[in-house]
Amino acid sequence: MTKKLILTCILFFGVVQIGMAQVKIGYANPQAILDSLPEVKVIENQIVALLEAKDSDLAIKADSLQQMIDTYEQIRGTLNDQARQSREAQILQKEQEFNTARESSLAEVQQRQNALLAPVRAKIAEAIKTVADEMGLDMVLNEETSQRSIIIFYSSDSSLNITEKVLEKLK
Amino acid sequence: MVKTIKLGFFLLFIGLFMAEANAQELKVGYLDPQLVLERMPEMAAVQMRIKNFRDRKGAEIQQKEAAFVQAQNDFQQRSGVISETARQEGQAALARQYQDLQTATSTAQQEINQRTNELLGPLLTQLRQAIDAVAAREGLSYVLNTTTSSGDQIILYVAQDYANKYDITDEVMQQLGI
Repeated sequence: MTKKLILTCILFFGVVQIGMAQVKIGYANPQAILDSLPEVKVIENQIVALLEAKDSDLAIKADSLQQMIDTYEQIRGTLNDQARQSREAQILQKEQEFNTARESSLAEVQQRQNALLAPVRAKIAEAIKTVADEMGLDMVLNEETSQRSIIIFYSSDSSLNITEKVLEKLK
Repeated sequence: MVKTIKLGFFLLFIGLFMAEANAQELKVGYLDPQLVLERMPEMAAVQMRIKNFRDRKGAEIQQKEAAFVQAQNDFQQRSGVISETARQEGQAALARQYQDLQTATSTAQQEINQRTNELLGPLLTQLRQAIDAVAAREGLSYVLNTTTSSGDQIILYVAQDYANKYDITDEVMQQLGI
């Protein structure tokens, strides 16, 4: 009788517990994962090379602009008002062209970096999903933003930090 | 027999304790507020007003910049034919004008931020009230944001079964009548 009662209670409470399981939340640091991957280092090198190439193009444009300004400074005294205004307008236009070229270079580099990193980010997302599913996690939170602002300050259970497990999956 | 009854009561007590603990089960919902905001009918008008305000402030600053460049050019043209004192005064005036330009740029940015907050404020209040109503109805302990304002993900992954139950984005839209 006693044994039956105990068994029934265990089964009943077991079922209740399973049915009302707590949400299981893990967390990971995708930025740390990105920083640890060798292919990201290769991408970073490609981006540095691209930046250097763009910088050298911009340096040529900057030199040409500076030369234009220097020439104008030298001959300004000999020019009438109309010629002076015309030269200044040319310089201003050249300066605007230079600024536009600089902004467009930076945007191009940023776009290239995003395009190169997109497949790596997709791989990381897939690895996070695999680890989360294996551990039965309902949700995985980001530990910190890309600007290193902390989202999760403390966890009582460090096994819920899946960063290392994700890295293992990516090896 | 008495022993069995005692054990029964003990297990009942444990059961009630566990039921109480389960009643306080942590339920974490989440939503993408940006998605909801973008679908709110008032949002298009708010965005347009923010853009107009930003354009107006931008034009004011551009005007000040042009005036400064003009003053700089005028000074450079005159600098060869004026006295040392006049040159120093001219340089000081240019420095003041530059400082004014910097201050005006930073004030304009603050005004744009303030205007954005004023215009978005009522929509955010509506959104907040809708989130509160949905969370209360569904017995949620927390509602998380999916993404930061700078585009970083806060939630990296959600299991499909969990998302089906606790992604409240659609419920919040329905609450708002969208």
